[in-house]
This record gives sequence, C-alpha cells and structure tokens, in this order.
Amino acid sequence: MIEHKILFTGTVGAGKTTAIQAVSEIPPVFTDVPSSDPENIGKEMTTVALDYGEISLGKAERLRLYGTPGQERFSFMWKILSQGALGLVILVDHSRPDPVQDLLLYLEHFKELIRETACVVVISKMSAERQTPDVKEFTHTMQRLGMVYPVIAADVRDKDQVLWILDLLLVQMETRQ
Amino acid sequence: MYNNTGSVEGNITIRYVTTGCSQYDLVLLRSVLALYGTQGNATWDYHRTQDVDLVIIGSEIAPAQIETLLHTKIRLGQAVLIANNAVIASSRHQLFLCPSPPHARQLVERLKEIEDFIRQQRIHLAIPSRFERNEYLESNPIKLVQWPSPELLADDRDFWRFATMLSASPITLDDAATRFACPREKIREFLYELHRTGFAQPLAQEDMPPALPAKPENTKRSGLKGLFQRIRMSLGLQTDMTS
Ligand SMILES: Nc1nc2c(ncn2[C@@H]2O[C@H](COP(=O)(O)OP(=O)(O)OP(=O)(O)O)[C@@H](O)[C@H]2O)c(=O)[nH]1
Ligand SMILES: [Mg+2]
Repeated sequence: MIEHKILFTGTVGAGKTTAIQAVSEIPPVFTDVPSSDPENIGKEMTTVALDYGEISLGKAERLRLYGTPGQERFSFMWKILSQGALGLVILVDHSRPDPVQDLLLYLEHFKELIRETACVVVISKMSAERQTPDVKEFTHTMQRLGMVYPVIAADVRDKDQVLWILDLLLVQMETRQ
Repeated sequence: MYNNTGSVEGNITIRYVTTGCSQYDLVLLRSVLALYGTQGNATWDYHRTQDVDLVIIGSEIAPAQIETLLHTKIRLGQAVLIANNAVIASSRHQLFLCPSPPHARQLVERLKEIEDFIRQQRIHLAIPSRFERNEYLESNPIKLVQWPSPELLADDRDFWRFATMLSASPITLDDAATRFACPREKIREFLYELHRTGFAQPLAQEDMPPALPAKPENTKRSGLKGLFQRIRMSLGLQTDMTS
C-alpha cells in the first residue's frame, strides 16, 4: 500500500475534525473524547491523539488526511506528523481572542513543512457580527514574515468548501514540482 | 531612460515629503540621505506637496492619525516609510517600517528597498492604462508580494488559482495560462490589476530565487504529477491543470 498524507492543523475547535470528516471516504477514526478539561478548553469533545481520514487513489494507494491534536500540549506530535506530508492546511478559529497570534504560532511550528511543500490558511468561524481582524490583517502579517500563501475564509462544515481548499493546496504542489 | 528589459537605470530622482518627524528623525534622515545620495543611485529631493514618490512618517504622530493619513492623503501604491513604533498594516500601500528612534543602518536598508521599489514603479508608470500592453510584465516571472485582497479575488476561481500558483513560485503569465484551462486574456487583466495595486511585481530573470532545494529528478517529478492527477480524480476536482 502506497500512502501519502496531507496535514490539518489549528487551535482547539478550529474545525480540523470537521474538515477531515467532510471529505474522508471512511468513517472517521474517532479519537475525540469528552474534554475532562484541565485546560478548560470550553468544548464538549476534543481530539487527543489525531484525526484520521482517508481517500483511496486506486487499489494500492491512498491519501491520508491527518488532523493534529489542537491542544498545544500535544505539539510534540506535530513534527512527527509533518514528516513526509505533501502539504498543510492551517485552520484559524476567528472567534478566538487573538486569531492572528494563533496563526503565527502554527506558521512558526510548521515553517519547514510550509517552505518545502504547500500551505493554505483557512479562517473558520468568521461571523457577520465580528469581522475584525479581516482577511487582510492575516495576509499582511504573513507578508511581513515573507510568507505569501492563500488565505481563505471558509466554513469547513461544507464539503465543497473543503474540496476547494484542497484544490488550492494541489495547485501549489503542482506549480512547485 | 528605459532600457529594453524595462528597468530604470542610472540616477533617478526621488521626491519625498515628511510628516510627524521629530528633530532627531529629521537630522538623522537628512544626514543619511546626504550620505546615501552620494552613492550615485538616486537623488533625494524634499517637496512640500503630497505629489511625491515617498511619504516619510515620523515618530510624533499617533497610530490613528497614521491610519487616517493612509486612507485619505496617500495614493494607492505610494511608498510610505514609517519610523514609528505603531503597528500599522495596509494592503493598499507599500509600507516600509523602521523602529523609532531609527538607527542609521536600518534607515539605509529601508531607503535602499524604497529606491528599488520606486524603480519598479517607474517601469509601471510608463504604462498609461492597464489596457495597454506591458511587455515586461507579460514576459517576466511574476512574484506575489502579498496574498491579494478578497475584493480583487472577487470569488473568481480562476483568479484564486492564478494567485495560488504565484504564491507557490514566481511564474510567467504564459506559463500560468498553459498550466490550467483559463482564458489568457482574463488572467492577463487580473495580473495587471494585481500589479497596479502592488500585490504582484515582475521579477527580472536573474532575480529568480534559487530553485527549491533538492528538486526531485525527472521520473519522480512525473510521478508526482501523476499522483496529483489521481488525487484530483478521487476527490472529483477539476483535472485540467496540465503542467
Ligand atoms: N460556524 C462554524 N463552525 C464550525 C466550523 N468548523 C467547525 N465548526 C464547529 O466547531 C466545532 C469544533 O470543531 P472540531 O472539528 O471538533 O474542531 P477541532 O479542530 O477538531 O478541535 P480539537 O480536536 O479539539 O482540536 C464543531 O461543533 C463544528 O461543527 C466553521 O467553519 N464555522
Ligand atoms: Mg478534533
């Protein structure tokens, strides 16, 4: 079996499990547990190990979609999961207090993977009531770090939007190879 | 003044205006410009009007006022040097930032960047309208400076794909057009728009960044191409990216 992988990362509740579920062919491997909440993350279920989804590419080949556990205390797993990944989707939960700062954390943690492969930044949970920081603030922050990648506001509960995110990730891979 | 590759060579005059500068800012600025101006690259001319290439904003101005200036007084795409510790962002202007009080070395670095930027702008100013051809823009690899604003992308998937390609690697318009099924004319107009608003700029061939480390050899590359096609098919995505 030949296996390839794409990684989804982002803060607790940003929508990693949701995005992977939206496009996976297999029922998701549940690693969500009730969050007994030492960090009080304010969420009923959280992913402790990793999310896993799968898309078969033929009889002996498949694409695995991995979601990193969101809580930073699991960040030791981020590097392990990065190895050999084709690209990275960073989910930024816009409803959190400082989403720009959240993005910076993941850009820093995954900078090698990003430089070597592909990256799409997804702003999730952007509401009509709260529009700041707007998309431009994210792109500008990235530009100052010399990082220019697609930044898209999306609802990852919608399968078509997740497919479009993967399409853009593929466009980058295709352009770079 | 313009050579055949479109770069503006030799000495250029850069007109600037200052606002909100402290005594210290001005003294430092003037002495750096006096020194820097003798390197034969550019002549820096102080003007009182806003009709200048560069606006220099100093430390004696509040962040909110800077925002207002950017929105009201300063032209789209105009170079702005901010020597102020305020956190300012603008996707409509080319901002060059320097902490306050500035150090001479930082100031020299910014001025060099500004000079390069203005040279690029002059190439661009040689085009009276976006409908007139800009050979330089159309034949050189394009670098994306910042991810374009949602208004420019306008939810048009061709624009998104084109910008995404540019974000992955500087490529030429033709290269991009042959890689996916989209009318060249349509992306061309979008490219002009990206350039006009400062989100993209042409790179001279010799300024191309070194190739990504460890480019896989050819068989592996065609293997990857096949893989990406298979992923597209399995996900039911458009498969006419034909690189
Ligand atoms: N409004 C909105 N809700 C979303 C979006 N994406 C996910 N959600 C909801 O947010 C909640 C959390 O999503 P998850 O997918 O569990 O988040 P996660 O990133 O896997 O979180 P952890 O595993 O705890 O790190 C779920 O109730 C989703 O339905 C979005 O784009 N918009
Ligand atoms: Mg999860």
